[in-house]
Amino acid sequence: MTSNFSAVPEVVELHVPADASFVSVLRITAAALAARLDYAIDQIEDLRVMVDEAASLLLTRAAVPSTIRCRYILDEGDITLLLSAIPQNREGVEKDGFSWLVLDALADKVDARLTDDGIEIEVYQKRRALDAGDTQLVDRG
Amino acid sequence: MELQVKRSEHDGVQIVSPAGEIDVFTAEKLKGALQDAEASSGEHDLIVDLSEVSFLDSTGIGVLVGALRRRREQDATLHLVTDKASILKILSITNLDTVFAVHPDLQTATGAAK
Repeated sequence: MTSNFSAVPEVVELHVPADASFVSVLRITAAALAARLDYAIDQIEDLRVMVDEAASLLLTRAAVPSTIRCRYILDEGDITLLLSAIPQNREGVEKDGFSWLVLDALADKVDARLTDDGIEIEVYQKRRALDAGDTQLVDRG
Repeated sequence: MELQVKRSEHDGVQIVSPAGEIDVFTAEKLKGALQDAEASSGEHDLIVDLSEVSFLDSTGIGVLVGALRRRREQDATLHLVTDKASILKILSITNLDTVFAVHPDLQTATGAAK
C-alpha cells in the first residue's frame, strides 16, 4: 500500500454558518479526507459521526448568527478535528448527553474547552492499520 | 441532504420509513412524521424502518427515544428495523440496543409488532 502521508501536518479548514443545515457539509468533508488517507469504511463512518456530534454540540451553544470553524488536521494518517464557535455565554458544552457519550466512545481522545476566542471541541482519531477483512472505499493499490 | 419519510400500515401497525440522513437538521421532519403516525396508532406498536437510512446521529436517537416513551404510555413499544453496522454501533454505544426492539428486516418486525 503506497501512502500519501505528508511529512508535516496538513490542515483543511472550513467555516460554515452555525446552522443545522450545514452540518452535512462537515460530514462530507470528513469522509472525503478519511477516504484520502485510506481509512477503512467503518473508521470513515466513525469520523463522520464524530464531526457531526461535535458540530451538533457546538450548535446548541453557538451565538446566532455566527460561524462554526472546523479544522481537519491530518498528521501521518491520524486526524484531529478542531471545531470552534462563538458561544452565547461562558458556559461549557453539555457532557451528560448522547452526543458526548458517542464522542467519548468513538474518539481516541476528546476534549471541550472555553478559549479566549470562544468554545472549542477537539477530537482525535488515530489511523487504524487495515485488516485483511476491512473494506475500503477506494483501492489505491 | 434531504430526508424523505414514507408511511404505511400493516395490520393496524403504522410503519414509518425514513430514507436519507437523520441529523440535527432533518430530525425535526422525522419527529413530525412519527407524531402523525402515533396519532393513528392507538395502542398498537410502531415500526420505524431504518433500512434506507445512511446516517443516524444522537439527535435522531433522541427523536426515536421520545417516540418510544410516548408508545410506552400507551402500553405499546417501538420497533426499529436495521442491519447497518454503523447504526447498530450508535445504538450500542448509547445502550439503546436493548431498549428498542431491533429487527434485521421489516418482515421480522411486522411479525413481532402487536
